[in-house]
Amino acid sequence: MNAMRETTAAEADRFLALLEPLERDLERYCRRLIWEPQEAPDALQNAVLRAFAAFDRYHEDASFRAWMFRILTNEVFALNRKHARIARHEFQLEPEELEALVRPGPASEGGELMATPEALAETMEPELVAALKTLTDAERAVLLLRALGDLRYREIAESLDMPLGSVMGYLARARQKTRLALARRRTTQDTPKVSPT
Amino acid sequence: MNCHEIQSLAGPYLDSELDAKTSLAIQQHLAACPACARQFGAEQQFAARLATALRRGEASPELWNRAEELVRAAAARKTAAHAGRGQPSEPWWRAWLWPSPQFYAGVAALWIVMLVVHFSYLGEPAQAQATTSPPSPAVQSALAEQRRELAAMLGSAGAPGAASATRPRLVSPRSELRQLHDQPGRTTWLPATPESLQV
Repeated sequence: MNAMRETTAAEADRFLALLEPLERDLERYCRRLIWEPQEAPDALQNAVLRAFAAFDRYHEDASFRAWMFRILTNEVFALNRKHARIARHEFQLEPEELEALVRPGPASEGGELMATPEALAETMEPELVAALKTLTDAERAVLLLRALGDLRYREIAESLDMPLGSVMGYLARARQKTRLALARRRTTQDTPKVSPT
Repeated sequence: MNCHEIQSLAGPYLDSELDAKTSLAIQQHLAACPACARQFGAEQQFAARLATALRRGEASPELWNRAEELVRAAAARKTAAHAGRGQPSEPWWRAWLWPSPQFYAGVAALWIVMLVVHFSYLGEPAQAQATTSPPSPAVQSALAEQRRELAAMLGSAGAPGAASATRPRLVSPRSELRQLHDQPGRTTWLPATPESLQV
């Protein structure tokens, strides 16, 4: 009995020790990936509990970071499905903008940001959030797993259950769309408002 | 590889996801092509800035403290569940003694009390029946009349000679036919038998 209590307590200690270095990245990832920011704490806590419940099936040789991000992604996707319909209507791109996404390079509308990336550092939080919302769940997850999770393409593919080629495709598209959405919002804000009189 | 192909690999190259041979080919191209080098530099800066912008925001210690509490509570529940499984289980026959053995002991005791009370009262009516007075004259005369009628009926039916004279003799049709056949000088049709068909 005492041995069992110590084993479970030691298991919890080991799990929490592995989790601690990831907490900040997991929270940022969750807040960026989720549609409803107020649902982020619940999503994180549910993911942590799910991970601990399945911890006896976790293999030492696998990446705990990738495993944890995978569980959190599934949790957030389940919540996002509820809001997917609203999202499609609110943040739909224009057809000509989608055309531009196919063309890589500085010739696209986001070329300004490419030429002066410092502008991105000044990007306000609402602009970034709005830009991320132009992405599909899969595109956003791939982009964030790479940028915040520091996962390799192979780990992203495993986390999201998709082929490696799809990861590369989603990531390229996500970067293009983000750049385009930020440039579009910047252009809209910079345009002086003309008085009707 | 031409410029278009090189630029399409900018992302994987900057993420260090390409094999050594392709990476070397891209490096050589970038060294010779200022336009592609500029493009790659801008891509790299954009990715770095985007990551910086995305990383803004601090973690919430209270959220993670709460998560830790939940994990500890889950671990305690797990220990309790294991401890419950470790205890010796009840013998299977105890499941049949629902709600409890004490309940059935109470029921048995109640039955015993009821039986004792029942048999203690059972002797009194028997004694009372034994000491009852003889039936009244009217009942006795009725009983005597009934006995007489019964004796008359038994007397008429019990005489063997009268009964055999009036009762018809029961014979089967086949035996009657056999008797007719056996009478000399009488020809009676009988069903054919294998013996009768033999010539």
